[in-house]
Amino acid sequence: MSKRNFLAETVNRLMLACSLLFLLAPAIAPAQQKPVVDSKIAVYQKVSGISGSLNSIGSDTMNNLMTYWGEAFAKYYPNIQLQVEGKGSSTAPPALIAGTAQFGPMSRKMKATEVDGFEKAFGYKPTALRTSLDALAVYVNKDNPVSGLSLLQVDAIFAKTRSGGYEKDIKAWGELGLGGDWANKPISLYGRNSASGTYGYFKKHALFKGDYKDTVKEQPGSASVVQGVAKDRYGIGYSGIGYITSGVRAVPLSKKADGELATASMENVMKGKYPLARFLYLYINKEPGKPLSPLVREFLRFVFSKEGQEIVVKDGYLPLPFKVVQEELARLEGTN
Amino acid sequence: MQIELGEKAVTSQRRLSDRESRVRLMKRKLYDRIARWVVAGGGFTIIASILAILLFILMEIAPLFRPAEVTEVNRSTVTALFTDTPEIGADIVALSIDENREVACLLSAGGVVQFISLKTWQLLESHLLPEIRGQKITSVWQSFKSDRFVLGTDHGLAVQLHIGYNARFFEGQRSYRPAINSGSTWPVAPSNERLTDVAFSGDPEESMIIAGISDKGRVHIFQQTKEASLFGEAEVDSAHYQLEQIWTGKPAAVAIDGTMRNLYMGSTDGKIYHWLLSPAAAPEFVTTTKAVSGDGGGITDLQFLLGGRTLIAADSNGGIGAWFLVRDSIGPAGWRLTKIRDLQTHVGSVVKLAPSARGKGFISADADGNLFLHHSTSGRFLAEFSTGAGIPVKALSFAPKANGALTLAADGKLTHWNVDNPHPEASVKSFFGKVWYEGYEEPEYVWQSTGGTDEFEPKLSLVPLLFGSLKGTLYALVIAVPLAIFGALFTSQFMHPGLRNKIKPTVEIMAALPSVVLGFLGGLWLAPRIEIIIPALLLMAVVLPLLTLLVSALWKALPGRYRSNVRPGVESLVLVPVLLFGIWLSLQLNGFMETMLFAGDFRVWLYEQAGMSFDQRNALVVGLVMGFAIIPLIYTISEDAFSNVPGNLVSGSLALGATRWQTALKVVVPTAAAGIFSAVMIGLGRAVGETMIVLMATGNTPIMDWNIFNGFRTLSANIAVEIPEAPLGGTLYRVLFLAAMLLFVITFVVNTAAELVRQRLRRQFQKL
Repeated sequence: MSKRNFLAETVNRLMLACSLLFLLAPAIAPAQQKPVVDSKIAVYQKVSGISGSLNSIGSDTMNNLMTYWGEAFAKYYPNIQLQVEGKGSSTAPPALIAGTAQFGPMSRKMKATEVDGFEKAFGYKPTALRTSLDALAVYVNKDNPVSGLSLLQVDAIFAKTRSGGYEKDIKAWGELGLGGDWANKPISLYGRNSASGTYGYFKKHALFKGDYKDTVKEQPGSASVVQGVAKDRYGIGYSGIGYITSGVRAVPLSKKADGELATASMENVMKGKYPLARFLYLYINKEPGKPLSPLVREFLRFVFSKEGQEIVVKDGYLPLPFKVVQEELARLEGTN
Repeated sequence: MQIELGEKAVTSQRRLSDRESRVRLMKRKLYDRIARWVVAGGGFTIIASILAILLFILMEIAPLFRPAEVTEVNRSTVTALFTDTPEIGADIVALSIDENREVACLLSAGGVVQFISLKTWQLLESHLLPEIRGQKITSVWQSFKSDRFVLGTDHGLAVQLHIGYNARFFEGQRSYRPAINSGSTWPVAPSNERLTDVAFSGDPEESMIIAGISDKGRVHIFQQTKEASLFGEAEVDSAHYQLEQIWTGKPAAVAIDGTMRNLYMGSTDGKIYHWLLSPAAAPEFVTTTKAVSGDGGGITDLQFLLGGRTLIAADSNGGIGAWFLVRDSIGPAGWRLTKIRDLQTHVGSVVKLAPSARGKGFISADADGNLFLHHSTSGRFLAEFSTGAGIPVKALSFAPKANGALTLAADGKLTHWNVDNPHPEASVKSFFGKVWYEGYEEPEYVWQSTGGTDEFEPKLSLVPLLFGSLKGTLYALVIAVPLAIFGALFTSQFMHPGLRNKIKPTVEIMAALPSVVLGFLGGLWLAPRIEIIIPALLLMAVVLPLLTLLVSALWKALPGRYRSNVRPGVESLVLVPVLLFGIWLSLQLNGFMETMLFAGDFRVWLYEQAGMSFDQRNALVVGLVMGFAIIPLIYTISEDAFSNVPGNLVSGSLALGATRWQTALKVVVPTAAAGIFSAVMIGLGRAVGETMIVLMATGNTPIMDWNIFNGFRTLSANIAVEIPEAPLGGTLYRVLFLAAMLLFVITFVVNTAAELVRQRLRRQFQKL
């Protein structure tokens, strides 16, 4: 490496490091065309007398989403403040139980034990609202030529238990059929920390409830996973589709060993072709038979409005179909 | 001057009256006393705070090791409950409890479903299952939460039953509107066969398998697959198989695992038979295993634990074993059913097993009315309770939240139990021993505390974390100790005092860098660079010492008139450009080295030649960064120790003709040994507890491997990573406190040992 190159490289890396500091910089949208919000979803109608502060503690996958919603919501109500903390979905239940947050964004469903804890404190179960769709993507470096993976292969790459039933452990890129200089390169694994809902979801669906290899490097956030893969030519990792950057590529996946490969597009998610599609949830504490506080209710109405769902698209996730929006709004207003 | 002043002071003092001087004396004594109280108070406060912290940690840990408690809440008898219909009460076959443990459901052989209040023992609702009419329920399969049932009848039929308690809230009060949902029936065996045991796996709405044992000693399998198309229409396929009678003895119990791929049958002569199931083909027999130790025992019950992987086999000798499939390259199926562990043995025959819907626990009941609470992963025997000596347990249900149980004894006694069992998975063995976890090929030390599902088996071995702490500390010390101690020796003994006064504060400033900054630099800036220049680093380890020796030799050879121009103790500055040159040279040769020695790519070479993986954030990076963090500590303390060696010793040694090097090595180092030792120990203490650097500069991978190019996860980083997700008072929360306790113990032991050794060394050298 020549000196000048090294300097340019240093500047480059410094800039990358800086960009890590500004994690909130909007992710670059995938190359494919953007999904469209269903036109039947109503526009948000402003009401009067809303002010106060809101707290959200939970999923890192939904960190940007919550922040964008908060910012846009504050345009309607300048006296509103939404504080967003996103260390992982598992931090949401303790926060809801302790009452330190009104919203618990989670990228997986609550486990029964977490629901137990909540029920013990309040006597009723927490309410889960589906806010958007995510296609959990398996990322490789942009230079990686791998054309697609089956879930069984993903399991054999990431898990030591291989519960999916792939016949052998996959350690090098050559074992996935890559030739040339890739053939003997070991695969470097990136994943999320265990507090993450993405960690749990991936474990359940991609690892068939098996266990991760100990060599998976656990990153504190979705952005660091993507960044790790972008910088590590032989890396592979998983994160929500909203975090895709130009340095990585989302690998098309198939459910069965020789099934049809599907990219993480809106169309494939809706048709059920993409195997790692999931809802992103917002958990709230709603006492049965009692209406929500106006502030919380209005925020949720905003989330389920046309504007709210457009923000979902802007952040790189997939908006809800009209039917789901209707169902969730009915639950908001309902007395159950 | 001084004498004059003194005299003046004396005279002025004399002028003071006696009273004034007494007041002064008293004041002085008072101040003295206050000072003593403040100092002593401060000291005691510190000790008290440490003890209080210790006590707090101990209090958080203690519940982990407390045994579970099972207490009776209340009881009734079926004769009291069913005064009008004693025939229903007499043949109850299954029980179920709602998740709030307020309502129970009793199912009779005649198909009557009775809901009773567990508070008042009053009958709430009664339903008759139309599908059972004219038949008797002869066997029952129930789901983990006891809300789904598959009932086997004496006409070879399997009937689906779903119980809903439907808790509702009104004005903060809970009320129930229990409902049952039945309807689907499946012909599992011919109508002249009585089903003595049924097993179920899957979902009636999708694909499912029912297995049934008939009184004719046959095993029947009913499979149903539904392929839902895009337009919501389902294609139903069903198939019926009867297993070939390859067994000896008689079939006693069946079970199907969660994947719907494996079927197990336990026989009355104590064997477990294993078949592979597939949606399209007939069952394929795999193997048989002897499952009962001792002679004459037979399998009495087979149940899967939550997750459908661990099979619990109970036998008539009172033995209970946990089994699961282990990968096996020799076996025909690629998997082999293996006995993983034995659990607490009953005296009498085990008649019933009830798995928990929360984790890997279960209750076993025997023919003498004794009930044991077990946990499979930890192998713990948690509690024992009894429904009455000598009276067999007839029916048993574990509450959906695993916090209670309902039992029915053969004499009609119905008992509602409270199960207080907050930490069943905790045991000394599960924290420090090798445990054989579901799906693993052998017992291992594993830390993987959280999963996304309820059936996840937490793996809470602290050994990989202890190992990580040791590994990180070791690599940091390997880098820091020689540099810091030799650096200190050089600055104190050989360097010019003027230079020394600049160097020492500079090194101390290094300590002012917050560890989070160091960690950030290490993880994001240093790690990617180190990755490229590993060959250069190896080269530096050779080139730099060689160059140093070469330059020293050249310096010696230099004529005295040149050398005398340089003040002694400053000549070492000559080395600075030389070392820089060495580093530059190594970096330049990096590519050449990599091509020559490592076939062009160090990572691949390492993987292919040594089978070692290379992680960007590895122990080398941590060693360098954490070494950087503890160098100032070790350096300062040892420099002080060297400088405090009495000057007369050094002068004496030099005067007797020893060289400076001999003096330093033979006189200064032994005298300062106590100080150096405590410097190293304090550095070690800092490295063990260091959190931010290891958190950011390693991948936090809980592996057990000394490989310097791998990461690790330390106790302290683990606490930082996992405490936000640990529910207050949960097992993980307490285990993290246990990790904190371990850290505390390690530093306490190290510091105490260091202090003892230091005192001894000091006494030894005090004579000098």
